[in-house]
Amino acid sequence: MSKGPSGQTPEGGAPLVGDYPVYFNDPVQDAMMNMILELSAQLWMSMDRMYALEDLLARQGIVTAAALDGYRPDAERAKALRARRERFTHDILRDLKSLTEGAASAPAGPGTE
Amino acid sequence: MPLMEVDTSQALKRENATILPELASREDESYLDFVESLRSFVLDGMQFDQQLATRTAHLEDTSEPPAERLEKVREIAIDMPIASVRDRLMRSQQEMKWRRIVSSLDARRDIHLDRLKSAEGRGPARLELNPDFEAPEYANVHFHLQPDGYHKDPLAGFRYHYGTKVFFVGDNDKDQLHASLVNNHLPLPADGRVERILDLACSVGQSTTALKQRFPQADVTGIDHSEPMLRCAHHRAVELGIDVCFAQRLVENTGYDDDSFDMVFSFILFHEIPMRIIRETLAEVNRVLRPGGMFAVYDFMMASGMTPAQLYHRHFDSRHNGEAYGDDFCYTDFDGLLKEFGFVEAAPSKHLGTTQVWYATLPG
Ligand SMILES: C[S@@+](CC[C@H](N)C(=O)[O-])C[C@H]1O[C@@H](n2cnc3c(N)ncnc32)[C@H](O)[C@@H]1O
Repeated sequence: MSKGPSGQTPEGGAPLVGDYPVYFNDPVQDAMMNMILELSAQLWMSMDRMYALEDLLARQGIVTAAALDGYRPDAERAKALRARRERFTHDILRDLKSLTEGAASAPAGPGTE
Repeated sequence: MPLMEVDTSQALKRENATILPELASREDESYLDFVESLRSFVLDGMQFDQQLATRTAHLEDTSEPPAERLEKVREIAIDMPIASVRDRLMRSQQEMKWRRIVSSLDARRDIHLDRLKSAEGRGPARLELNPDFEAPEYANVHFHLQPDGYHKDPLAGFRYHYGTKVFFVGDNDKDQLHASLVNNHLPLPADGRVERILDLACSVGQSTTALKQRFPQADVTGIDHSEPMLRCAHHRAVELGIDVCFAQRLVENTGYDDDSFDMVFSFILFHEIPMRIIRETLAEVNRVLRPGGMFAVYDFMMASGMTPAQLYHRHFDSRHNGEAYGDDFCYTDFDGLLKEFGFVEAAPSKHLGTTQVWYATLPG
């Protein structure tokens, strides 16, 4: 169950938890859970896109399974893919970074200003 | 449990096409579809409520004060590993949702800003902003963790609109909920006269336009303190071709004349203002609503009527989801407050899902 609150609201409202609330015994477990969720979201994005792509390609009779397997990106494409991969990695591993940020700054309550 | 369990079949037939903000890519939509499914799993699929309910059956009795019941529920939940998972997932789906909505809208920020700009001055909907307006201090809260809150970012209305799309897990994609409240759950004043309607804290105006569609002859005005919300509401109504007015005013100090409205409508406002403002708002509604007029309030249900699981969720929502004033509202006696401010019951208050409705009028 979640830990207690830490921030104050402007007018006597409920105290709000900080930016990185911890729900498990060890904050690393929280980060792990977030990584799994993020991975699942990213995986779904890819699956969704792949279904659309394969459907369109097949409907238009353009690409076969063999052609897909033999695909290699050219230099420009490879560069773009790399940028996407880096965003992908950052999104999934973001929470590991928040572990250090969370430890460094006392949470002031993200819900308030 | 869904926020509201209302029959939306009627509403759908009216084809209330909404204007959902456009995201930058289909990938962003896929991502947010996943978040929506995650949310639905947390609310329903993981069956946390059922598990908690079996352990807290002895706390169902609503005659005990809700704050005391809550403490006992929390003591029980502390020993349930699933409670930590549920809390973690609930918080995470909110964070994931906002991150993706904000980055997707920001990717085409200029286009969205242009869109709002180009709606300015176009009708039939009207927009009345107050250049001297300053948002009250108590509004500086990031309700539901929305980054920059309701009024600090020019795209706050679009953010909010897409955020609520996910929040309602598909049940409001076409504004069915708003339409259903207005079409199926809103009684008329006893004399049937509805010429001027005020929608309190209208956000992006989904109920404002639904009210106009139900009462085409009436003058319908939605007020909100947030300029970005009002701009988005105005843009949306212009796109839909619906003649309503949006004005930047405070619900506790509207500036309208005494007795000037036949109906005052409010959907999930009162749990987002502190008790002082709840009281001022009731006094203000008493002033602007005419005798015999209808005051309809849809909001969170009172804690006194909540199940143990609902008490648990309310507590979490107030502290971990930015609903800073949620407890001010839920732990009061709203029926008593209505009475104190001169209202009388027009129809019995009832639960709709986890929300509650009140219909009040003023003696003539
Ligand atoms: C949860 S939303 C209301 C939902 C809205 N009625 C709908 O149908 O989507 C709360 C709204 O109340 C507005 N608000 C909060 N306090 C206010 C006040 N004192 N005066 C005017 N608007 C206020 C916020 O800007 C926000 O748009």
